[in-house]
Amino acid sequence: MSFPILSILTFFPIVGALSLLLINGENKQRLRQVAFWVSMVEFAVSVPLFFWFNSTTPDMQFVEKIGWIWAFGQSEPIVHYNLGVDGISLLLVLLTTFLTPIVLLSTWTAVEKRVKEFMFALLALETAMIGTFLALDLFLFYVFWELMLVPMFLIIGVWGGERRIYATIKFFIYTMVGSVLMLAAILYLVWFNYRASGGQVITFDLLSLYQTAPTLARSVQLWLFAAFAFSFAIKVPMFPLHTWLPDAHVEAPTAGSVILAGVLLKMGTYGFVRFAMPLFPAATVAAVPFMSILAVIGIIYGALVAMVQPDIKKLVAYSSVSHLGYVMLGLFALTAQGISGGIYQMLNHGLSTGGLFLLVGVIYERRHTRLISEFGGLTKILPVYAVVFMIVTLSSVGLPLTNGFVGEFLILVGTFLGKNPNAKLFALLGSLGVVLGAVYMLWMFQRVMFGPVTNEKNRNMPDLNKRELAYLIPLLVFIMLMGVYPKPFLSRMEPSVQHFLKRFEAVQEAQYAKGPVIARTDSVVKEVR
Amino acid sequence: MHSTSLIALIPLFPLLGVLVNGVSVWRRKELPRKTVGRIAAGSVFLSALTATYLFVRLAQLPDDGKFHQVVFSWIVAGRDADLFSIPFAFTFDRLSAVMALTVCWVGFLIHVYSIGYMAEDPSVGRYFTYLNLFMFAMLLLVLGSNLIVLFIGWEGVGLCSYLLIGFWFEDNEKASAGKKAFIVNRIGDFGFLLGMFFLTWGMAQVGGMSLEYDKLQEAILKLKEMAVTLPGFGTFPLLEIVGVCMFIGATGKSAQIPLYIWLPDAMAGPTPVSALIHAATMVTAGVYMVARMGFLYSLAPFASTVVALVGGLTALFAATIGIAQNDIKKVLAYSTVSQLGYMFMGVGVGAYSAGIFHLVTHAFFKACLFLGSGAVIMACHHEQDIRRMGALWTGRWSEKKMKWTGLTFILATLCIAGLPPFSGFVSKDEILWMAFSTPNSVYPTVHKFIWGLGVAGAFCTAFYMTRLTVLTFGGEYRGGEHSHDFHHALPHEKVHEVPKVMWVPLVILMVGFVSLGFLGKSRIFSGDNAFHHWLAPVVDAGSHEKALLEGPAGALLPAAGEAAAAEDPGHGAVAVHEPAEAPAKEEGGEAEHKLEMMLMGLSVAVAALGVLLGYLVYGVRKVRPPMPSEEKSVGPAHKALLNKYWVDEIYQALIVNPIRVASESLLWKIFDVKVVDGTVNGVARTAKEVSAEGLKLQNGIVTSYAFYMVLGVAVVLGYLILG
Repeated sequence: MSFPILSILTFFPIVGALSLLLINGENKQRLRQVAFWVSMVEFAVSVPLFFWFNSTTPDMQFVEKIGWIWAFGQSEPIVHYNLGVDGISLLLVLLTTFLTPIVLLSTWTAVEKRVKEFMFALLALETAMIGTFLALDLFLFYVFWELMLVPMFLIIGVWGGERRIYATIKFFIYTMVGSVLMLAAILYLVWFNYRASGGQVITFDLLSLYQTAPTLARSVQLWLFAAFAFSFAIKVPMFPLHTWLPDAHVEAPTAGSVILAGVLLKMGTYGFVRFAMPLFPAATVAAVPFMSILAVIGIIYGALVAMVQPDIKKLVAYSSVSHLGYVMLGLFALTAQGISGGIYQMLNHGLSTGGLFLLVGVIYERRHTRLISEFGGLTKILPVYAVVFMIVTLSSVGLPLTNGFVGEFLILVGTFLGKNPNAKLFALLGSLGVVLGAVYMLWMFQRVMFGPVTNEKNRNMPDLNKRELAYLIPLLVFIMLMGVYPKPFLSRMEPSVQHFLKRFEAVQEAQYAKGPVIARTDSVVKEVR
Repeated sequence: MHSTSLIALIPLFPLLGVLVNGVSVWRRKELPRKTVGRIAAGSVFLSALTATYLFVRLAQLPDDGKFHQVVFSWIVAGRDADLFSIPFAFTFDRLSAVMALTVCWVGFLIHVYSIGYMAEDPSVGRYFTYLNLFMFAMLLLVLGSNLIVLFIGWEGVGLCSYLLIGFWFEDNEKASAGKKAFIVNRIGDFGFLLGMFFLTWGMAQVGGMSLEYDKLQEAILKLKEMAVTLPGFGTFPLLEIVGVCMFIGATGKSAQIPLYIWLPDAMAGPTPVSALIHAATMVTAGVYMVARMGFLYSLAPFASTVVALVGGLTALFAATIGIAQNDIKKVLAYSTVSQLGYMFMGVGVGAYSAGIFHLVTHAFFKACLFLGSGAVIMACHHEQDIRRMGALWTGRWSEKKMKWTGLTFILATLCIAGLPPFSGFVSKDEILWMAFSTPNSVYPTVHKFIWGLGVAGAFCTAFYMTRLTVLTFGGEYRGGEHSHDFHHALPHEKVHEVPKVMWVPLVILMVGFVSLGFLGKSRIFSGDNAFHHWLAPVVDAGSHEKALLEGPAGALLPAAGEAAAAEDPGHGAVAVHEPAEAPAKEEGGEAEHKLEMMLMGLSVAVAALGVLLGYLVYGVRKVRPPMPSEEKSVGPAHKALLNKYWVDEIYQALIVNPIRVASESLLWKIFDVKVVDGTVNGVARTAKEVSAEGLKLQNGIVTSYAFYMVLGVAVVLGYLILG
């Protein structure tokens, strides 16, 4: 085995977190510094991954695989400690390591109570998130998945706002329902696989299940897909399972919101790309219309409800419903453009929505309110803040030359090119989000930032300080970079996306053999051929 | 195709300006005001020089020559047959050359003017940053070699427009106007995106997803054969759908019915911005797009008819509103909407070079009018109401309050009114003639109707422009006294001409719009339209394809523009078929020539009548527009015009408010809170109750546990045996 970089990435944060225990809890500054530098080292370790990554192969890279749990009568271990990274998870891991130091910097003055525990929770969360992205064994994945939830409950429940308990319970109920279903689905999958192998193989190994699960009967696939999809859809969240999100976001402290929006929601979409879809291709293809409709409803519904929110944070939360609707739409397009766009949009959402939550946090820290009506005319008072806010807003509405455009455009093109008969309709309805996105974002921006200063309390707000700039500028850099030069990111996904698509080729062909609804006149068919 | 690395310099210079000025604004270490302006204007000057140099080199190439530059490969997704690859690339052909030259030089003059206009503004650094950013985006738009690069520019200019309309953001009304512009444009972009999707899909069927103009043009005949079935609507030719969708984008960007409503509000921005963005350049992007996609539109007769018809309707509709407006900038705004309508009328009937020619002349005379209005507003200390102006150009030359502003404004008025020999006459008349003489293949008589709209619009234009000019520059000064309606007053003595840095650009623009008329001079005068000649290889390429498609017989009849081009032996594309056609053409040409002369006489007469009537009403009879307090008692027609036909109010009531109310009460407060959360909380409550019941099972009595265990085993066994 070569250098275990993935294990280091996974466990370094928790080791760092443990070191916090040695520090006196009164020494808040020291705690923050140590936690921050742990996350910075973690980020520094993750960067070479991007450059060492071989973008010509769809295979898992930097794989580490050790037997973990054996069962009676099995020569092979049924559960492995198995980590690996491909073009789909690579960028999500980097997003996590990139956002964590940013989040830690943003909590510098925002969190004053139980600093040690808070820092511990964030670093533990980082370990769990990275583990979830890297796990190639369903059991291991489930362990990390559940592990991830604990710090998040605590972050909302302990450091949250006034209605934090309600929000936490709601989050808990939703997530637990999802987790239980997923556990059941995993066990059933292993069980079915065991039966299908003639009682020979019990395995949680994802890569071998990739080979065998698609051969399961269609009806079995449908049930398993439904169970996985349900639990991931809660996480995304897809309409109509989204109502935990606004509450969780509003009550969570800024750091929690950023992590929640930036990374945790991606667990849902990642779950679809990594598990629900490739394991059950027949079911996936069958589910395309259903999932696409929900995605489109999410896009439009999220945008419309975001539009009328009086609380900025809730507005951003509902905008997440809309943006993740895009991701889902792209993934279920089952075209190279749609899937690349979907993955790209996951990153975009992490940057731009994460950025928006940070920016809301900045003014919340100064004014202790998030109501749009409390603000107005802030551009005059906070000119630098206004520029940053504007750029992040533009990224969120998908203006060309920001990252948002690349994702949205690929998703919509990809959806339009999809093989299912209603692909064009889905793309058309999804494109409405382009208009509505501008409506809710710019309207909010105007009410907060433009106009005269109507609230005297706002007049003495200080502009962004150096620490705040230090964590916002990297976001701006990537918003621009990924908008202007997306190629290094897209090219790393490409082989994995192609590999992913191959699983659906045969099923799609069988499903749509009757021919597309779109008619071509005969002459063209001849000409083309 | 020639490769060069110079094209990228054209948009790059303004981008550097953005960086230099932008960084100094960001760091709040503002450079001296003059330096800021010089950097901004200088960067555009460098772009203009580069564009001119490339233009000269282009002129030395053969007719269909062009420069091409791939900067880098931008979006790439998929592989092999599914490869979707968008290079960040530029094309400098004859069409983009014309656009780049217009944008750069008019833009440069407006930058110079801005130095004077914004001299007192505290945010001058921000202003020039935005203005340079606009130039960057606009140049991407016109130089891009594919639809996506065009779209970057398209959205980019929209952003700059948003930022500059709301430049004085502390005024909520101005900020709202900016937002409205952005959102209405986004509605158009929705159509544009769909058009691109359809095109991409079509290209995927014919063997290569690409949105490069070259590739599209190569594949256009194959695309023409394709049809799309929209479930529930019917089957349509692909190109028609693409054409209509992309035109929806153009109605947003170029302020046509039904999306024109943002442009009058956009006048909230600084006046040089209105001149540059909302008159001369950005709003013409839609016209450029249609001309650029001319190879597609000329094969999409229905979509072209829509373009021409919407253009004609807008031309007349906006012109009528212009008659009753009292804000000097609002009049010009409606006039811009109307003039853009003419351009669409031109490109819609397949007269691409005529449409683009009007675009160019309009850029000069409308920029001159807008900058002139800015000068007037400045001279009158921020007064924009023409009811409070007057006598700015009366008396002897030495006594005239605003010598140069007045002179240029009056000439520009004659130009837009369509009086010979000004360029406005030449370009508008060309469009009207084309509209009249190009038979419509979809609806046989609609072209006459479109022409009629154009002529009626021309009359209104002449009338309202004369009204505007006479009320502003002629008669007596009306801003000097307080009144029931106006509380502030400005003594006549305080009105003054603007500084040289502002009026010199006006004079240069005037020279431009006067001399341009001779460049694209009608065939009537010289028999050779240099402008058309220059553009034909690019914009008539589609008609070449069409000719191939339809075969030699009757190939050249559909568009008289092409017929005219065919008369010119040096013209490549269409001339191929000329020999067989020539004799017949000669005869028909004679009669056609007479008809053209007649119509031209008619349009001059209409324009002259409009000017005359305007002068009689406002100059001789000295009719004054009703004051705000009198506006309630005007007649119904006047009221409709004054209120712009209540279109904004109708949109508000029918679209905006219902969506808002439904989102808030229905979607959020009922569906989200009551239905979904209600269900979840209900489930939670049920679970709690069930578990409370379940708790009773745990009673501590071992025998009952044993009973449950046996029950459980029985159930499992039963399942295994039976199942």
